[in-house]
Amino acid sequence: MIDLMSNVEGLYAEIRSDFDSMWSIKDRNATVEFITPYTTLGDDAISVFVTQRDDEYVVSDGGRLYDVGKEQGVELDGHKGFHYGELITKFSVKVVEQAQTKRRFFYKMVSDMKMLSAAIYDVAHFQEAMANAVYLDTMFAPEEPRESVYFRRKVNEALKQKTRDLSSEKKKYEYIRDDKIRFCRFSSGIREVGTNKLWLGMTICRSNINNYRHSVYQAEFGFRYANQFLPDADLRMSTVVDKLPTALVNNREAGLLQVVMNDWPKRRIKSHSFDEIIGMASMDTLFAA
Amino acid sequence: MHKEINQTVKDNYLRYQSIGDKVKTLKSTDIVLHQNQNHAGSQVGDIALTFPDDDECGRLNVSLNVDKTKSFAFKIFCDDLMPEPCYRFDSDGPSHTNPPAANLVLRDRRVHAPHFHKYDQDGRETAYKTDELASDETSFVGNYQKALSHFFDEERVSVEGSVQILTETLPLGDRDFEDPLKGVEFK
Repeated sequence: MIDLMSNVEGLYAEIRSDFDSMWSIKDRNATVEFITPYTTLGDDAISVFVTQRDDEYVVSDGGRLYDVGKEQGVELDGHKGFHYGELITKFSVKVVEQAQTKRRFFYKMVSDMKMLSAAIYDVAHFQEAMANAVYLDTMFAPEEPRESVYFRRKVNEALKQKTRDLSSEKKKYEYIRDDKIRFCRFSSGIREVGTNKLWLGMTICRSNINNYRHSVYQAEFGFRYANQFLPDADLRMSTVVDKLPTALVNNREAGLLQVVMNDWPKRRIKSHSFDEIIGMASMDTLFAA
Repeated sequence: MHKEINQTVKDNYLRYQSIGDKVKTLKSTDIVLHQNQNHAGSQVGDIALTFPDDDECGRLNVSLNVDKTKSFAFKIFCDDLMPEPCYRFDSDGPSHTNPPAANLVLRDRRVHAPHFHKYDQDGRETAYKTDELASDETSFVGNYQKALSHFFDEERVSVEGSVQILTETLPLGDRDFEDPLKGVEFK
């Protein structure tokens, strides 16, 4: 390893040369694409397109931001969090939209060649900021809420079906999903008709940690307050999880679920708030009691 | 939608790899392009791919941008696995910068189009150039026939006879990188 301070000049030269190597150009007939060293969060290099109109140079994004919006399924000016107007002002860029294609271009015009680098610098950084605002909102946003909604729907569908299947002359079950149940965050409930027996189900989706945490907080709330909201019911509360846990569920974040699942599903949950945890496959057991 | 990590690939990496490794057969040689309903400026066409032992379902997708960019792309989809393409080739478009996690020297991080894309074992999409592509990239830009046969070599697609891409509006032929600003009026 070369001593840092003994070779400052050499290192500086090497680093600059590495950075320089990131620049590249593409000849596009009447336009030159300058591929800059900058990169968006989507891993796309930022290019600036320079062309000539009459006696001015036009420095633009070549429609690339429009493409980012298309790819991520958003309108660039359709969401406050993208800061569309602010960024346009900050970088002093202009916008033109093609009437036919609706393609939008962001650009600067300069007549003095000396100002070209400055314009390229600004348009490049405008693109970087704008694209990253979109990516931060879309690319990293958890998709999973949809997954937990999907799971809840699946459980509810299955329960509805079970309610129908198991109802007989003697015992009638009724699937319920009313405001009271939803207020204390339960997904659904099943009532034994003619009694005050009420089973409440809470789905916990474990597809990712955020989802899991969210579900557990909801469960905590529900299990704690259900008795107060439904004082007359003989309650039995269960959690339905989407994936069967393999070894240990130790949710430190919520400090709530501390369940050794090895002897699944026999063991009853000793936590203050959970009656039981069941997997989707064992929903039948709900009706055994 | 572009995502930082493709969880499906990450969770099913062996299957993802085997989709690429197996020799797939193209069911027809005529690829008819039609207007893409979701994107005014693009035309697309699909042809089914047959896997050995019929153990997967796949398709080759050809898309052509008839708007400013006039680029084309070839993709291999496996709809049972995921909605995103498994492997793809882009003739033009933004240069890809392989992410910090790839741990490459700065000079090697940039991969200009035309380029191929695939996922690594962490579900991260990376771009690369084959040796042929690196040595003579412009010859692939306008020549879809050449690009397609190279794509078939790279992605192990076998086909009997020569493939034709049929499109009504735009004759595909040799050309340079398109000017995306042609006809755009700036004030």
